[in-house]
Amino acid sequence: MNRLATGAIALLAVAVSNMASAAGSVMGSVGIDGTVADRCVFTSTNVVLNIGEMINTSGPSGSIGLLDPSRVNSQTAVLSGLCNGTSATMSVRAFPMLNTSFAATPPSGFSKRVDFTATAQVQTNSGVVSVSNDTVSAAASVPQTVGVFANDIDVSFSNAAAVNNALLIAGSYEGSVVVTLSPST
Amino acid sequence: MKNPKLFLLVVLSALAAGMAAGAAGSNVSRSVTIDGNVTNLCVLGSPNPSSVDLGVLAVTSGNSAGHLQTIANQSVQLPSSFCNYADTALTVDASALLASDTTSVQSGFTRAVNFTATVSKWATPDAAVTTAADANGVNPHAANAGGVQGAPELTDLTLTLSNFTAPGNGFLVAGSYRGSVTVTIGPALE
Repeated sequence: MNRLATGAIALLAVAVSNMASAAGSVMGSVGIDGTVADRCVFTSTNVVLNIGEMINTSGPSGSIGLLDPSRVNSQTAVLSGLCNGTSATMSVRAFPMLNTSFAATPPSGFSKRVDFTATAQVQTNSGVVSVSNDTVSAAASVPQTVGVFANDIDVSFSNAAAVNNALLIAGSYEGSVVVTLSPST
Repeated sequence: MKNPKLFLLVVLSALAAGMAAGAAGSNVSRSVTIDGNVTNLCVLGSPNPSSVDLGVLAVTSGNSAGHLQTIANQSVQLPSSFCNYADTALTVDASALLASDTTSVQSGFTRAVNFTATVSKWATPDAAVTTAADANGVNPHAANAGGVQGAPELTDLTLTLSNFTAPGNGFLVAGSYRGSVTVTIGPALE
């Protein structure tokens, strides 16, 4: 009689202890992995600079009709962009100002082309990064590393000159500067 | 039931693998366009010499004394004259030499000396005009346009004064004589 009662009690005790473990807190860890791709983005639109009259129309007789370089060299434009990768680069390609209405070969003493150098400059965590390209070069500038940045990109002009410093043929002129951000090499 | 913790780990690992397979972004560019213009412009070089001194106009002795002597051609340069656009032309406007004494002359005399002014090296034909003042100096002006230059042009212009004549080959009245030439450059007239 007593033995039966004892066994029954023992089983109950075991069952109770199991339920107690199931009701307590259990810790585990879940790993979450993700990646962010290298990207560059411009946050500004294209810029159009209208510089107006390009030649000297008064002053010393020897300068009338010639390019006033300051009309180009004084120009600036601001783009803005960002890159999120440490190997991001920036390059620039400059295209000369060409007369858009005079298609023929310029007569002796005249030019229909203005060359210049364009420089794109941006402040990054590593300092100022500057990249330049002149319109005479056949290719764009060598890309320079800008890394992770989100900032204004200042575009400036210099060394403007008509071919052979000749008289410029009348008409409209247009040139351009293309700034490229590359997320990774 | 499966161990719920184990099941959750498997699902998250699959998601992570999918993100790692995404590619880097592409190059992006922006342009700065620079537009300008060059206005139509013509410039005449400063005349060299700026004035022409013919000296003594009349023959001083012999059978032709008192009549206009033979006067050599005179040349004036207008260096580095140009127009930076096409379809331009020169106009030359000449005024006969007239004596400062404006009194009407007697028959057989003259107070005018006519000449031809030609500006060359701009276009074909040259801009040329001959004055036709009468002995009293009436109607001293004459003007003419040259040919059309169909392209921008830069050149050293030459103004030539030639063919000096006295109306009726009359005797020249005494005194100083003065004439002028005006050269104009600009769009060719229709």
